[in-house]
Amino acid sequence: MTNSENTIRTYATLRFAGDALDPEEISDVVKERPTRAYKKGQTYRPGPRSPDVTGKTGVWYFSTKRKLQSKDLVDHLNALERLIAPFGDQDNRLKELRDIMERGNLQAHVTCFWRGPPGAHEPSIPSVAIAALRRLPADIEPDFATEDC
Amino acid sequence: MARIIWNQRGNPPKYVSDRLGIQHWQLGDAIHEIKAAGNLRATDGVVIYDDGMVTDEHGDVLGNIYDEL
Repeated sequence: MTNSENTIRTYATLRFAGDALDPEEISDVVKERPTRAYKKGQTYRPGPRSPDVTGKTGVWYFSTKRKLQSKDLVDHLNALERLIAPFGDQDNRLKELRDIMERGNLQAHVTCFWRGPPGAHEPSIPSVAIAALRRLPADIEPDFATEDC
Repeated sequence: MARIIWNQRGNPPKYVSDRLGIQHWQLGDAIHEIKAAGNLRATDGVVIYDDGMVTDEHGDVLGNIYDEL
């Protein structure tokens, strides 16, 4: 578990990717606008200081960084879980996403970011969250570090 | 013309964030978002320029550090 007093910043991200990805299809199912999304071959601008770039593959990307203020990684992972299977997946959202992934040969990836002060203990990812996200299936990449003195 | 200040895999060291005038954790935060949004894995290398631009190992632009702060 994350000790929020020993966290500088934490958040989690979820992305779907694949050449056949249609961002609107994912947004319709999860009922949430992505942080960034583009189709393969689509031109988009990553930010005001970046030039236009062309998507090498389709991506639907959601980050909790600007959505949640919590310094507890668990809260951020719970937000991702609510995206893919809210209320115990009563509306079959998970199955819809799996069908889209299978039909379009899409992959799902979850990343976890955490930075803490010198000497802080890195968080662990709760097994419940791992199990929930792997139901998509999504792999999970942690990016944990403490700052040097 | 912008100069390369980092072109390896892994988390860039503090001298890179110092060169950009930002905190080290801010650099890690920005790189994490840029790579994830660009569909790169944590183990993929990136190239960072002294104007904040970030490209993949093939030179394709992924974003700019300062856009993520």
